[in-house]
Amino acid sequence: MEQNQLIGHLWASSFPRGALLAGLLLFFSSLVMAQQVSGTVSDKTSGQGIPGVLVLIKGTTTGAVTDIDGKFSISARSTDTLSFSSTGFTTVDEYVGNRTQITVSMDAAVLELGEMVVTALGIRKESKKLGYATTTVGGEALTENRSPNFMNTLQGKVAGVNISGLGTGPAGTSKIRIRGQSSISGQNNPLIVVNGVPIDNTNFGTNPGNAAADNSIGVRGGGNTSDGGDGLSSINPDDIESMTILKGATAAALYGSRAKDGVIMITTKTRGKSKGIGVSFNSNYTNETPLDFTDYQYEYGQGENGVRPTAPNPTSGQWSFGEKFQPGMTQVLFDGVNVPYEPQFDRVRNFFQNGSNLTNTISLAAATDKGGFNLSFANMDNQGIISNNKFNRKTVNLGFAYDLSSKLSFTGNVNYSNEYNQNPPNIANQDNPIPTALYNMANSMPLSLLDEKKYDAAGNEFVYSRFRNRTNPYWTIAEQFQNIRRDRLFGNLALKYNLTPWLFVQGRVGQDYWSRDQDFNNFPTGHASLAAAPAGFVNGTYTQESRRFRETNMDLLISGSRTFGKFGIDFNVGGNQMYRRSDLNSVLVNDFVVRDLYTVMNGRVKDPIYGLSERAVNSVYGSAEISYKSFLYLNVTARNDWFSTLSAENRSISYPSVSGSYVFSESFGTLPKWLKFGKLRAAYAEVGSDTDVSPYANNLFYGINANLYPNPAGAAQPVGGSQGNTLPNAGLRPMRATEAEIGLELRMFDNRVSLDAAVYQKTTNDQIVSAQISDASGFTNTLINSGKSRNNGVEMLLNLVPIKSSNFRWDLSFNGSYNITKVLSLLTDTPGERITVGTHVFNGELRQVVGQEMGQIYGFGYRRDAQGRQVFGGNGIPLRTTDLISFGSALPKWVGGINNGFVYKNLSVSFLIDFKLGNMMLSGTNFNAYRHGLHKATLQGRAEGGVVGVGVNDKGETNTVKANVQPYWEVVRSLALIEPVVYNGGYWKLRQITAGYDFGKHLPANSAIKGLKLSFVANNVLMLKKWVDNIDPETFGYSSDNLIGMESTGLPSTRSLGFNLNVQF
Amino acid sequence: MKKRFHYIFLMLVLLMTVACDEGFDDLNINQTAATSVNPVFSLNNAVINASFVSTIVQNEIGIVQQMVSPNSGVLTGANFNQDNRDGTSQNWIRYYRTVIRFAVDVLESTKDEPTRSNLYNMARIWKAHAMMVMTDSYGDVPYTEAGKGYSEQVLLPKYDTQQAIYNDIIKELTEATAALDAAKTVETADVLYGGNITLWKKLGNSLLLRAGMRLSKVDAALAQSTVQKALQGSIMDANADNCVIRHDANYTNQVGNMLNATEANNFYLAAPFANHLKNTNDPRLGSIAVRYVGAKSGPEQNAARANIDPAVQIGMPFGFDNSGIVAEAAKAGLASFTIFLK
Repeated sequence: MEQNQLIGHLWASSFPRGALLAGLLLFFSSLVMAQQVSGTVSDKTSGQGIPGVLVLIKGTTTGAVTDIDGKFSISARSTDTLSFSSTGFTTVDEYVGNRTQITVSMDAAVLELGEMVVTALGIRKESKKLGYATTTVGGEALTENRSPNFMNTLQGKVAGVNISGLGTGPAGTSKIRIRGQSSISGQNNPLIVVNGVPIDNTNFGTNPGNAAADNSIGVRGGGNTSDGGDGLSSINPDDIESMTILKGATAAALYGSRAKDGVIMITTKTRGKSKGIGVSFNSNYTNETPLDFTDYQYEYGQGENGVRPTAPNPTSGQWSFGEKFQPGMTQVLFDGVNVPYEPQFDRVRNFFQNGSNLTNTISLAAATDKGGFNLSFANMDNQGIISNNKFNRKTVNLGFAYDLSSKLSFTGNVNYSNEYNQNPPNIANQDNPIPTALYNMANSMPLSLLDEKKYDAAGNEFVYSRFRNRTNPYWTIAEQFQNIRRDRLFGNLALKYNLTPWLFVQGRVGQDYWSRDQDFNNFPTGHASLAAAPAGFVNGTYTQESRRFRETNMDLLISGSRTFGKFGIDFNVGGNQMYRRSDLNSVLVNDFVVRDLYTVMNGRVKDPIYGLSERAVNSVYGSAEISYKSFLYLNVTARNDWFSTLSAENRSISYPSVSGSYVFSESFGTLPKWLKFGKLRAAYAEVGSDTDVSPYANNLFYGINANLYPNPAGAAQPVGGSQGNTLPNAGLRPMRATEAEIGLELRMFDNRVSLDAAVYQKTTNDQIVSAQISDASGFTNTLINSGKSRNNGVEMLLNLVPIKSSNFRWDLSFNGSYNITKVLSLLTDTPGERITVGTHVFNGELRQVVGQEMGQIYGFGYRRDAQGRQVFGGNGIPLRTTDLISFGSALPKWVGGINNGFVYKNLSVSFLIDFKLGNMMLSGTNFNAYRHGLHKATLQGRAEGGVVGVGVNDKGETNTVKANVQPYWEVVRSLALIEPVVYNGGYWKLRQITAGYDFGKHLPANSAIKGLKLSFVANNVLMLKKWVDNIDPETFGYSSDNLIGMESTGLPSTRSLGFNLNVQF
Repeated sequence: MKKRFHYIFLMLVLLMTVACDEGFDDLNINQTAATSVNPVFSLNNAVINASFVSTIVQNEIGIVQQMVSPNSGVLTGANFNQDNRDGTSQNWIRYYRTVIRFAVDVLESTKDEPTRSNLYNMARIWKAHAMMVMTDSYGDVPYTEAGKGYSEQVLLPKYDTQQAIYNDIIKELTEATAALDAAKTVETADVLYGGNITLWKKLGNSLLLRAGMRLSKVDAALAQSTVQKALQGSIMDANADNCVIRHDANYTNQVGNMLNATEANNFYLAAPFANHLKNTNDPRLGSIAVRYVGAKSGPEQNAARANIDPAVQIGMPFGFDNSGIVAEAAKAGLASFTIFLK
């Protein structure tokens, strides 16, 4: 794409009446003279000046910031109203009139929420004007009590937002759902925007068994199931000034396309809060303790069919269907040693070690009348709970703002991160990963023996189990490696010119570029499940990949704001051009010449690939907001997108939104004394999207395999053919989501009670669904426009201040949301019609079924007769249902949290309880615990030499057949019977405790140190309630976007304890 | 100020002339793939993919009583005649997604190209072979509309009866074999026979012979006429005629990998097969079977204990799980069931 045509032509062609626009501009230019207004802003309670207050001319984005003494100066007209806002204070509006000096004192706000909200395109707005739901989170909420991926810190804190860490390691993915899941088979992640420009949040997890169009990126060659992380993990939370979550489609209408699932807007620091150079230092250390939720049986030990191992035959190792432990018994293990036959407890604590996380950030910031900057350096060192897993992230962030003249200003920010993720653990797979092998290790297998006897005489893995794929976890640590290095630079530059005091034009260029090098030995040499290499070589698999990614966004915005008596109008028109390119070089090699030399040159069999993907979206948009007095606001937006991935006929889509806000507390002359603020809001919006269509999906392409193949004469011949399992569809249209919401905001009783509630309905139409078609067509699926789903939900934030005195204050905050999503149609709207989104390891699958809740877990259950009695076969083994049956939806219905905060003088303490409820899960860990005889339920019948199932045989007679214990429970595998291992996946957790002491007031006035705060933090403190056996229901394992409810053993979750030290100089 | 607006106006007018989706058609063309390749390369792909998937072998070797495992889990199906859809679907998946899809693609791109008539007829023979595997395994299967997802947008191909499929396979093999002509373009890039017409004709006739023999109990008359037709031409009668997929380092043999590595500890030669070879003094027993005499464990199954003397081979009986087999091993005088024939 020619870059020289950027921006301008985009919006130009959506407003072909350029002349009219120019005319309007002329018409509105007025000659009200600006005057210099200055003054002081102080804290009403302390009387001290407040630094860093944003002073904004209302309805514009022109503003200033108060200095260290709370002083400000701004050029404004007599007709302007100045709006003073700062996090932690209630916003104050002052009409300028003919004043040149204005003194303002501000009340501490009850809500942590800033009164100014950053909305789409980075436009700041007063929250009372908004007709839709947003939540703003201050930087401190992300830094004080933190986790390596900062989004995980927000679990349970924001109404309507469901965040899941996945138990995949420190650099793992954070799965975010705003107002539930709406996409039937595609992506549901919100758009991440930094300082007004989108950044990439590609998920590098693998997606085992996922049949659908999931854009997460997997790896080749098998053996690697680690979570390679996402884009958010490159951000250092210390650089974040605030974060705003735009929940509904309305809020996102101006971001269109990728914003259908909401937007997370991150504003980083661009200038200091005081004159001169301020230095601050923040240090955060946490220690992570792995948590053991296993509750296995330790009565019967290693062995199969009731027999303990008495010969060094590796038939067991992973089975605990042996004999009852008796004092003095011995067992012969894989290396032939005779050791006591006794239980080995605490496998989780004995194998895993404590992890740690240390982040140091130093930042320099300055502000002058003309602008300022914020420069920070940070280093994060993370030691995982597996000894060889380390993650280091270095970030440099520079934000700056400068007013070149009263009319021309620029702002910008650059974020560079250098990340090195060493040995992210493989997880969530039936075979080789450490968690699976460890969690299923026979309960009398001494871990120390596995550690000592990793290698056999030939230096290969010592086979300890007939289940050769269950690699000895100590051997895995010693032999398997993975390195992921990422360099990433993102940021944007904006130039703004005030054409008139009420009209500006802004151009902005943003880019997110990263390169990512990854190499790993999928299967190390000597892996027990590998075939021997031909003579002269050793076996093994190694992959080396390097990816580059670039997304550029260029936008132009013209924005104006005028008042006419009681009416005001704000308008924005703009255009954006997005271009994204990613490419990949990858070489996979098998077998090596030189042992332990993992290079692609040393490989015997080489399979190189190169891939390139490009896409672009051009957009034009506009919005207008009409206000009446200061209590009635109406906002309309329109946007048109053009998608490169769709055919010429279908690539253009336009969509509107309309929202209104009625601040009824200001519309009446006198308010009841208890009512401080009241607002009703309503919104309707549409969003179009092509996110589930990958480039080149409209045509069939052919390729040549990387390797030739010999003909009978030995001459190498090409092998080729058409590519892909998805049947191309050139007729795809953009999908379209429509959302309506109504909300209410109240602040009452001297701000001691405040409420923000919303009800919404979101309908997603024309979804691009990956529909399964018959394999006999030659393809497995095709993309069709057909799916329709509907989310209905309620969300609420309630803040209470039960106690408030001069020294003590208790804040109680409750947020909760209820969401239910139904599938309304797939190919047709016939109830029962279904598609399979993904499959569990080998039992059960995730389906979307017309007429049912989204995300149904299906699998075989126990067969029951008409009277509900369980039916057993002639051998006494349970029979399964004739077909797969539903076990309910894997999507949580209730998500929320309760936070209690106490402030006594300079000491603050808070604790957060959060919950997710109403979701089912299919547990792979328990599936294995059953078949390997570790689950306590498998004790049934062992003493009696077999299980006589309670129920009937297929003739309806009472079952009297005694079945062997092991095959009785192995039905979860042999019959793929999932009923015993489907659980309620909900939980209640004590998520966080934070205790901080602010030493600031104890410091002498002339101290070099201006502020000092020390906090003790604890995360994932206590499981209050869960339903699933043996695991933390949050440790899901799979990072794939839409593969929900399918658990496969991940890393154990951890409890972190630590401190945060913040020093300001 | 006025001047400035003139500039803006001028800019707008200039840029308005450019469309909002300029360049998008080019952008959505895959630069790392072609829109077509020489169809003989697709036939090569169809040929290579026709070797079997390991999981189906786990099931079928039990059905044909050759190998058995007493261990549970993925291997249970064959031993106890249990439905294991994970395994049994694999050939369906592989054949329709690759062999038949690529063969149909070759047919589509060569049917109107008289210069490639040999390639066209080779693809017909190969497709007939693949469809025989499908219908022999699964009965009534999609046939006439199979593999036409792209060419004719058939997403859900209809099933044809096995009888109709066999009738058409016989017709296809007969016609295609007859139409092969050494005087026309020889497809030397073919990896199966290097395009050798004589060998392809032998393959066609041999497959026709097989199709006829398969019908001997359902339609004796058709079987007879088919076999006669096959034998009128030349059929395979030397090792050089064999239809061989030459797996190499890049294109590996899944079945070999399973038996030699992933499930190496779990499979044993089955008693019915071993006994049959012993009873018929089949010399091949010594080449395919080994007993690790005295081995009490997997690691002890080493070369020093290996004995390939047909006389000492003992096959493992069917129908025992890994507790039942212990007693069977004792009955046979073995110290451990791992001593059974591998």
